[in-house]
Amino acid sequence: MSKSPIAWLHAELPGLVAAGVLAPEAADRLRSHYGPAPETPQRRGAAIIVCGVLGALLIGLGIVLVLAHNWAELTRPMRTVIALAPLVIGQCAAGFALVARRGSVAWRESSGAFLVCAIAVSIALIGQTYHIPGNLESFLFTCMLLAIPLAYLLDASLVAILFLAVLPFWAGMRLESRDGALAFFPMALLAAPYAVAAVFRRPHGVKAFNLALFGAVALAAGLHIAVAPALDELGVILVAALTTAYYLVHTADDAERPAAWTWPFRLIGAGGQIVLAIILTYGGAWRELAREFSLFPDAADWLEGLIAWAAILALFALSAGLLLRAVLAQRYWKIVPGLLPALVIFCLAYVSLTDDDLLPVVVFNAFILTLGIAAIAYGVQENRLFVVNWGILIVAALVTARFFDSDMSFVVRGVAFIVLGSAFLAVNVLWLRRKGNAPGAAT
Amino acid sequence: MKSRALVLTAFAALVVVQLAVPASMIVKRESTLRTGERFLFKTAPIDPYDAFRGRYVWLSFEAATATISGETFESGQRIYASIATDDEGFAYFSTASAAPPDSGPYLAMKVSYTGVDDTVTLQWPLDRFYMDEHLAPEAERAYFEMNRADETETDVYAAVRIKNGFPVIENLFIDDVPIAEYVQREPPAE
Repeated sequence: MSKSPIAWLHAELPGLVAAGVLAPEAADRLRSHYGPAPETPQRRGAAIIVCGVLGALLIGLGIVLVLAHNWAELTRPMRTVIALAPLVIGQCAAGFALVARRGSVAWRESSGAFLVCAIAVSIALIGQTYHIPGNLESFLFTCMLLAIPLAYLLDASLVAILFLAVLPFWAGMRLESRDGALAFFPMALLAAPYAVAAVFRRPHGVKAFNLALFGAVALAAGLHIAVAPALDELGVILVAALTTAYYLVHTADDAERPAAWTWPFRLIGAGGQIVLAIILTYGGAWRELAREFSLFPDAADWLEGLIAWAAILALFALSAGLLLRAVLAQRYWKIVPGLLPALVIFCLAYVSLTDDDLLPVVVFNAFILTLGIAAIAYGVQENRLFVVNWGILIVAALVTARFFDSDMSFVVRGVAFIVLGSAFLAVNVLWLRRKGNAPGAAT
Repeated sequence: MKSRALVLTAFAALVVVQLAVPASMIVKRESTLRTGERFLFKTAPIDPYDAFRGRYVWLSFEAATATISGETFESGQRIYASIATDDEGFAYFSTASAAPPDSGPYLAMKVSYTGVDDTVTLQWPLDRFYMDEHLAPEAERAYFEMNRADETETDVYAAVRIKNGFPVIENLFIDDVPIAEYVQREPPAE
């Protein structure tokens, strides 16, 4: 029997068992009869690409190390030639990939990655040869500018990924040197067209997932570095709006098959929301926010302040728009997490006007508890174990935070835990009774 | 076919740019080393913990101030320091101004800060000397010990080639011996 029907059968068996069409034992007998699912062409292709890239990088680094062994014995002209050698070799490999191996993803990706590393190595070796003062920020800037066109010319996602991985570090260095981290935005625009086009060309592929992962992290880190310092305490609204927008990302056919590129955004968004909300369950956090709060933070100049506020408003509008879209698509379980930015704004305004931190603490404790319970309920309803576990993790994080919260007395914490535990037990009993009364339930 | 030709043309242009950046670094510095004027600048004591970072020796120079005449400067501003030579043959900065001098050698630098007595403290554009990492520990020890003030008459200095205000380090010397040769000659410390 050919390989693809076997893979289809392996994919179908869990659904058939869950629907009661096939007994688990029969499914196991079918699996053992037809053998394991064959490796898919996509997995084989990915393996070839990974091996190609690793091989190219290791060969390149090995060449540099062998040449560096006798570096001190070499004359300056010889060192110069050796410094340029990786760059020339990388360019030849990339040129060959473009001319003769255009259809090979492995060739394009590995030659692109090798050439990016060769650019950095060549410039670094020339710096060592001529004792050039080190400035990591300008070094990375030069390497990024020389490398990013390769992503477009070779259609090499690894080049874009390396660019996105370095970009937040470079922006952070500009913040330390007071040159301004706003340069993050024009630099991000160099990679954005490639990443967006690649993602929408094949939204379900590994390339889309990887580009989305590094893009999401770079955008979040870069926004925080570039804009948050000018916002001071208003940065909490920025974080709330960004994580919410990330979490609410979805495509039209998500119900059938979520696009691979949405997963990094959702995971980062969900995790970010929980972390932020946990922090905001502490009264100390609200007292600090109230003490330092100002609508007009001390930005370096008016442009920086304007861009910071524009970022907040744009992200808030985006998260609100995505929430509306989710509601119209009848994804009602996204309403509670979608309200995070509004809750933050409301509580920030309340605490700055009244100096009372109790209400915001109660609001955010209720918010996280609702998130966790909603996730558990949704996961049970849709039979999605991952979502159930996520909900349990959320509740556990809240419980842990309150257990060690010295702002609450032992009695209050104890009573709250007893009430919450009783509620979970009651739900458990009711659920078991319902299952017991269901038609066809085992006695 | 048209798009393929466009891609190959763009790649060829990128190759030229990628080679031009390191090549321009090399050409400028080789030109300075071959045709620039040679000056000897004494080095200054530095924190021994920071003396060596990886493969290079962290440099600090004694000549770090110059006289200014009425001009005001801000920290980080570009400044041009005129170079003079003392009786022992070591270089120092006599005056500094916002524009390159009409004649005589000079070095393009940045202002660190301005003093109250018409002097300006300068920020050197050179700060390191790369070395073989196997010689590094001894080089670090020798460089630090020989730079300690009032404890030795040994001169530690850097030979710097300068052309049109642009400097390139030629070598680092201890007692008129290149540092790499010096540490290989001296026995290791107990």
